[in-house]
Amino acid sequence: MTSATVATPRGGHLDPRILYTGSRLLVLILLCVILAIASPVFFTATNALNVLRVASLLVILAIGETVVILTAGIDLSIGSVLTFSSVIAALAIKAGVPLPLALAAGLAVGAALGFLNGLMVAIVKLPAFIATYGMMWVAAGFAVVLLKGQVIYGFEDDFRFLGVGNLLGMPMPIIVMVLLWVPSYLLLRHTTFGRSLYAVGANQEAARLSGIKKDRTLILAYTLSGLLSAAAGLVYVARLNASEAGIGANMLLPAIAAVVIGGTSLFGGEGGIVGTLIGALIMTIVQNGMNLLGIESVWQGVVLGSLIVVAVLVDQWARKALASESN
Amino acid sequence: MSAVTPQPANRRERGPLVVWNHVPPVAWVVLLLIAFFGVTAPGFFTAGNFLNIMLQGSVLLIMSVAATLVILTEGIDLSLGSVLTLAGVTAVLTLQAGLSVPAAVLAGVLTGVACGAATGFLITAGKLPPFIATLGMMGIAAGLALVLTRQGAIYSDVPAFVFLGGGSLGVIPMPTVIAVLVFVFGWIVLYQTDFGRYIISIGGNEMGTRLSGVNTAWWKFLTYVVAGALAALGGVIMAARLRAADPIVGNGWEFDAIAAAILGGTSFEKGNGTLGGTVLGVLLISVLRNGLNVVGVGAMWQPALIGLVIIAAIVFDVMLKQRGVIQ
Repeated sequence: MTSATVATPRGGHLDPRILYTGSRLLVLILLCVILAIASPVFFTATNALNVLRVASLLVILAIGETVVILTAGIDLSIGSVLTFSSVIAALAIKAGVPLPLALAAGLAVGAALGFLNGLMVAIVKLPAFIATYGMMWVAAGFAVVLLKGQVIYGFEDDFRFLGVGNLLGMPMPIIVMVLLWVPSYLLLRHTTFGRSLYAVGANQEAARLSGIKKDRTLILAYTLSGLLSAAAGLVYVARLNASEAGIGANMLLPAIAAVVIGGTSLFGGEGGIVGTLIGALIMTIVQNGMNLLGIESVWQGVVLGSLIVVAVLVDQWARKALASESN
Repeated sequence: MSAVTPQPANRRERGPLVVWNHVPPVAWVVLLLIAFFGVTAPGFFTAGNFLNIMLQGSVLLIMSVAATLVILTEGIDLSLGSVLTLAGVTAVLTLQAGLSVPAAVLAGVLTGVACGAATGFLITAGKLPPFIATLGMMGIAAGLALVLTRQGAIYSDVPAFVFLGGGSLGVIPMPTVIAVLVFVFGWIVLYQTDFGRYIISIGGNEMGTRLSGVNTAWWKFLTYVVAGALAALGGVIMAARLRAADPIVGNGWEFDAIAAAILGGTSFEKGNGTLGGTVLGVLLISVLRNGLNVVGVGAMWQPALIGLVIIAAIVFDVMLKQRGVIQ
């Protein structure tokens, strides 16, 4: 609405945007070096694989959040949608529904909740943070109702494989993450839908006037976010071997932090999931590092909140600097 | 950006309907709810229960006045609930340190002032979108509450403190007395001072207000400070009522407060809205909560049902407004 439009830097020998993405990579490497010095166990293969496995959940969630933020929106409901759809899948599995069908049900419910978010944002024209914030409380509330305050646990091995299994020595969550990340990347970069996401985010009115189906793009973006949240939820429940109403509550802040640290602009139209991947890795390493250094987990909310705020501040400052440099 | 739907000019000039059109729809919903619960639940229409509704609605009213002021500036404050929690914690800690009750109240309120000043600064000087600055603060304040309480409730039953939450003036509970004072304070600020005029005019047209020489950044900053202070006051009362500060007591309160403001007719786009409408919104939510209790709907169902009703009401409200059916 108000943000100064960021001039797209063109020409010159080195695209400043590459420099900008590169700087995140540098932060990531720097973090690894610091932690390797501070804690001897950090640079072991086990810990590296552990970091990647933990990060994969965050990456899956954050891809969906990135897609929505690219449209200049926000999805505050991802944690609750993760919970609700995984509860549906867990209940279905326990009721004896065949595994593929149960998983499909979970994914479908996630997509449906995302679709509702999209309708509220695109058609009713509620601000995204109101619509998805409402969804956050409603979905969390119904998850409690469905579970009747209990925990479902103890799943069959075929389902658990999704969370704890290995394929060719690679943990399944990482494989699922890659299988979702690559098509998402292609979708964003090489399809009309991907380009219209960026266009809608950069300037809704201009996008509409140039013939982009704005409403459909927005609805699809939120649906995709719901679907990916559900996918993350399935992997998470398979790993925990339990489904309970609180699992998604602490997922929102890390996911948004990953997106923002990854350099996707909250004003829409700028960024992508390469940055988000780096951002999610940085987030996971920060959390992993806090554990290794023995910082109490109660501090996490404080750290996450501050990280988000600082990351957006730095991002805006850098964008302004880049814009003035390229002019 | 804002969808301006032209209002049918003659919609308001239909004889007797003129009067009805000026009654906010939320008032009808409140009356309907009262009638419904009055018929279905024998215990609803008792003086004791009405006092109960007043008591339960008091903290929500204080929070909702805060939410209304912020939304009028086209902002949002997602940290209100966490600030409520944190302020209760600092107040009880002050009492536990052996200081007086006024000192504890002051400590609580100053906590809110500090949180509000931090978000206000980030929004005005740092140019962060309000939802992200306050989301960050939500994480920070909630995290600090966990850190300070070591993740458990902390207690105090100093009589003068407990009086603030559990005492009464005549038959009126103290929280209600304080809530009415807050409402009067909010009304005077909003309608009788320059501050209030600037809040409304910033929401209507921020650029225009700034260009006419108003220091909009300062007044917006001040709005978040006041909102933080009010949320903190709510937290102190809550702690006094429970004789304890619980590190998750405020979770979700901001949703109810924002919902009450929006249901009461405060629009997040044009700086429209009245504090009187917000009172109706608070009544709607409080009657609904209380009625569900009295009817005997389980505590487990309540968050889901109330969230659903709130979101449905907001969607209907916005859609009817867009179609010019109601004002």
